[in-house]
Amino acid sequence: MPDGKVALHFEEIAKAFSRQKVLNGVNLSLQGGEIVLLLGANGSGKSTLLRIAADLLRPDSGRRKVLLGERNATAQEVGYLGHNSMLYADLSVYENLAFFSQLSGGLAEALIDAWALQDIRNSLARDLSKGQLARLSLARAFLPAPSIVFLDEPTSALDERGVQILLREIGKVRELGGLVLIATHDIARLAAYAQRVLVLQQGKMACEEALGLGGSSAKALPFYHSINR
Amino acid sequence: MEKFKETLRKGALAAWVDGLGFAVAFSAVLFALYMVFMVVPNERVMGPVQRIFYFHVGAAVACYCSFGVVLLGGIYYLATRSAIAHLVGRAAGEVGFIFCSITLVSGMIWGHSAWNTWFRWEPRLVTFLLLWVIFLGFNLLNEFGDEERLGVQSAVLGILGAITVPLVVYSIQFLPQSAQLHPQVVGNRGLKDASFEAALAAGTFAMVALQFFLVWLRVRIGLLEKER
Amino acid sequence: MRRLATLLRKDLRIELRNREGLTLILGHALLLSLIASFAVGSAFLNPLSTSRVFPGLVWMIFLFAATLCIGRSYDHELVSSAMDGIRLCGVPAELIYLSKVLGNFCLIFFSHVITLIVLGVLLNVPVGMGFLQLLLVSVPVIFAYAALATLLAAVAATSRLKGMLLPLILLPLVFPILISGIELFQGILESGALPLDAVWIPLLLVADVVYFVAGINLFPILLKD
Repeated sequence: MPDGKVALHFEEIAKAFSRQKVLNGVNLSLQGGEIVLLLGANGSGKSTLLRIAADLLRPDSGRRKVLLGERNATAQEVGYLGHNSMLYADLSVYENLAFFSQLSGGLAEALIDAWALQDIRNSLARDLSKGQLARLSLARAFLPAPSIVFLDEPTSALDERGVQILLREIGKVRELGGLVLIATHDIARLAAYAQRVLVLQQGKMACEEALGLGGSSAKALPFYHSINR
Repeated sequence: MEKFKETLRKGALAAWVDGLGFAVAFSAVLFALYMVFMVVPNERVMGPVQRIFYFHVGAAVACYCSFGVVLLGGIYYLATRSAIAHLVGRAAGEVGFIFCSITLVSGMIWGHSAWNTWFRWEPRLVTFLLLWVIFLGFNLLNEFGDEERLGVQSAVLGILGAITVPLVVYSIQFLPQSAQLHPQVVGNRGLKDASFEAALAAGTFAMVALQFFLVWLRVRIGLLEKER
Repeated sequence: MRRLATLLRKDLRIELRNREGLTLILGHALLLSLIASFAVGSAFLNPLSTSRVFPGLVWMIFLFAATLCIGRSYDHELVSSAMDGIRLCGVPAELIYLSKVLGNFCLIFFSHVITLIVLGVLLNVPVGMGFLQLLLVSVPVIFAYAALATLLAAVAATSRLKGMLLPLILLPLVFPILISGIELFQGILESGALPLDAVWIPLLLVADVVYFVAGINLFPILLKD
């Protein structure tokens, strides 16, 4: 539960990987209480942006601020899901969650219930199906009740039940005043639940728009579709 | 920083330093060669082969210089993430490797004349052998390491290597089987002729000048490569 | 402190469950011991000379086996980016480093003890007499090695050369530690007691401090980028 206004600020964030400029001066300001979609073509820098936002990567230049009220958000208040599962293949579902919850707080049991993982509680992570693994990774990302959540393509491997749970959980974060930023291609399913959409193109923020009712969009979505032609 | 890099790469200043560096290094080497082969008389005990000593010591000093540059470059890079600092460290690693090899080979040649073996298990040679391997590891990392993280990794390894050098030097002295075979020339007042000292100074200066010039060249090449 | 225990317990559990690391290091240590015994045995050295080469052999085997093992100690974290997960829990990188060093230390120390016994038996070297002292001096040697290797394994973990790069960058730096270990073993085997006046012990302690401090300061930098 955020004890102040949640905010995210990016000022001229730039990042290059071996001669390739991935982010080229990104400026961004987001407030809590919103679910925001981050769109962009493959390779446009969405993943890099999320990693910098989660403080896993240092930008080459520019400033990143993730705030809870007046102070910086701590690592436990931030949740992140990337392309890798961030789990241990040799540990069971319960052991994985227990391990991370012992480090950051939160209860493994509560998460197992919330994400409907009781049936596979004792299965090793290496034996899970792709969908089950995706659900487990998401459960880990929501440890221990973060106020700010960054998700990188969360629905790509999820089954329908998983998507329902995901929507419920990000809805909860939003209701409590938190911020959820999701990089995705799955506009069809998520646009209706989001309040804002951002389009990243060639390392810069190309378009930003608050979504209308039911995810209706006047410029951002059409713009995004047009550049993906 | 960008402007500085530009100047380094293309500017007239770079050309001036190129020319000046070349002139200094070239003339230093020529002068040293002259001193060593023309001016200095034959040493009493060993004969002409002894002349290699003047370059051997110089190469050793240049080698230590390179280590210093690697260390400083590494520290500076971690403090500022300057790409040039990384290049300088990397250049010093490559040039240092060359001079370390020269030190080793010249030492072995000298040793072969003095002791009739190509290698003896004695402090200085072993020390430089280890330094050679440390340089080798450093250069291999720069050659084959993960490109994105290379700057930080290279700096870390450079600092670790430089920290290890004093440990190596200190520990090798106490190896029991190492007799003090290495000639304690300067300490024992073995330099009878004044011209010996001059030649030594000339040789040392030449090697060190050459080393810095080569590092400079390598940095320039590195910058040009990045632009490509 | 509790988090350190959690990290250590996790590594221990994984190690026990898949037994890869243990098998790797013990297997190599035993194999190399066998090979070394054959190599030395065929020279028909007298017991005094065998005792002379024993320290060098033990530490050499240690180096090879431990380097192999530590080389893969980051694998299961790297493949799934679990390291990121740990950092996201707010665990400081220094703690991660400490847990890795301690975990690696335990594993390679255990393997070292086994090597000591096995090689001692095969080569008929009386390790029983100064056994405790041998173990005692092994502690600072292995700790310095673990501090250094854990740091460098992080450097080598992401490179193209994978397993090949770690030995190349680690072994050159390890010589002072290696020499200390060998000389101390030599001293203990000759006299049966700790050579307390030797320069090696202060050298090892210095190396321990230097490499650990360097590691704890440089590891977070490596991780962040």
